Amino acid sequence: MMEVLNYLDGEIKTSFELLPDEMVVYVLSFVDTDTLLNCRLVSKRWLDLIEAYVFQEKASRENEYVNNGNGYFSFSEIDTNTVRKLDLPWYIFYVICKHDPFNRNLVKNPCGHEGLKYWVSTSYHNMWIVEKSPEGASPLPNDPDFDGHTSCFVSTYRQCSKQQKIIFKDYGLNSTVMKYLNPEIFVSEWYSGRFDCGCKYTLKAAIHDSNGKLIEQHNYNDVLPQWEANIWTKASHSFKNQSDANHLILYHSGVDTQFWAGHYGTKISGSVVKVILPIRFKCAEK
Amino acid sequence: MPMIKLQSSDGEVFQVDFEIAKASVTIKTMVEDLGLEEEDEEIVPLPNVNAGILKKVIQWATYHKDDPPPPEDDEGREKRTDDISSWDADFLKVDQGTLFELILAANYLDIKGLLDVTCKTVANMIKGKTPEEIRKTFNIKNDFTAAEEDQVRKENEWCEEK
Repeated sequence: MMEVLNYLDGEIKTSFELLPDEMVVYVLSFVDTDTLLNCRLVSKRWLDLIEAYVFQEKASRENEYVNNGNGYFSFSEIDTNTVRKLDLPWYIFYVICKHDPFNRNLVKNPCGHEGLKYWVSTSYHNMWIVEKSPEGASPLPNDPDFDGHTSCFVSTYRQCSKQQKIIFKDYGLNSTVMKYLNPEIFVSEWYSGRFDCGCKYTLKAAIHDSNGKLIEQHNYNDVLPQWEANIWTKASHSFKNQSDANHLILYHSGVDTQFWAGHYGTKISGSVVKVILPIRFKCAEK
Repeated sequence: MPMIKLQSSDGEVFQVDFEIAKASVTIKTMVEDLGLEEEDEEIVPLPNVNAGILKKVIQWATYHKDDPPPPEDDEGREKRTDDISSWDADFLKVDQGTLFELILAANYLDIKGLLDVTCKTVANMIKGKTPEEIRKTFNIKNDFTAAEEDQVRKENEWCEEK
């Protein structure tokens, strides 16, 4: 329990002076994230309370809200009271309130349900198509990676490739935040082929720093033989200790092995890039 | 219907339907702990709430007596601050002192519905305002030195750095 601040006898208390710290925290946690950031400039008391409690309290409450709705939140696996025990500086909770960037998929249009939007073709022949549900192959597995979508990208007899750049700053994960957290970045993707046609699949995930310099790259290749290709397989990789990460380029390519006219090539869906929030708890308070 | 007597800090006694007074977890617990019966002439003292505020609280609880109890997990009721009913909005058209005393009373009496709606009302008075406007609205003294203020401003800037 926080102590009620004592004021000098005889001094007339007004508005917030009437409230003990815990009530000021509660009131401020209802204020929207942008105004709350500015509220740090109101007074020293507000600054101290906002940094020590308010953003954490707000993140905790909104976590509860999202967990009961259809939303996503950085620590949706953690119950609301546990969020209050997390040992993180105030600006991490600010980022969570503002951008909700952790433990969720940052890839846009990961299953082709918006056509080819957000993806940049990197091959001469931009012949990708989207199938509403995989043709000549099993439907997408029941997995949260697909977020309820049924569609996939399909390549052809010519090599098709495309990529998407995920800039971490767009989600509030600027260099200060990344340096503090030194987080794990997790990448995964599902691929398959038709039952009657073989195909090749390549995944490249490359993490760069703010100068565009490559920090780490993961390459994955597979060849699915004809008559055995129609199983959905998940490729995944975890990049550890990514304190300098500025952006990630997710690249994939596919081609069929029979050189058949039409879209008989690799099927790709459920691309995922997640920044994992490291969970650290405060030491037991006295 | 069983009635209960509540006494404000300044000695005024209010006779209230127990079903209404139960909105306050504090009163409910007190009554249960004291084992008060219907016929009892016992008075529940509320040393932290004056008559004017207690009257308002009873008015609020009477209007909301048929509200469903707040769910265990709050289902996000709290996240929104634009969901204040027009009755509550009218009810809370009071001077700032009364509004803040209602927050204190709702907290002391443990009436979550009243606490949330009063806190949201104050939060709505803060929303979208600059620090200077907030200080003016609530009569808060700026106790930062120019250098300290500058430092906080810089921290805000890198928070929003793109």
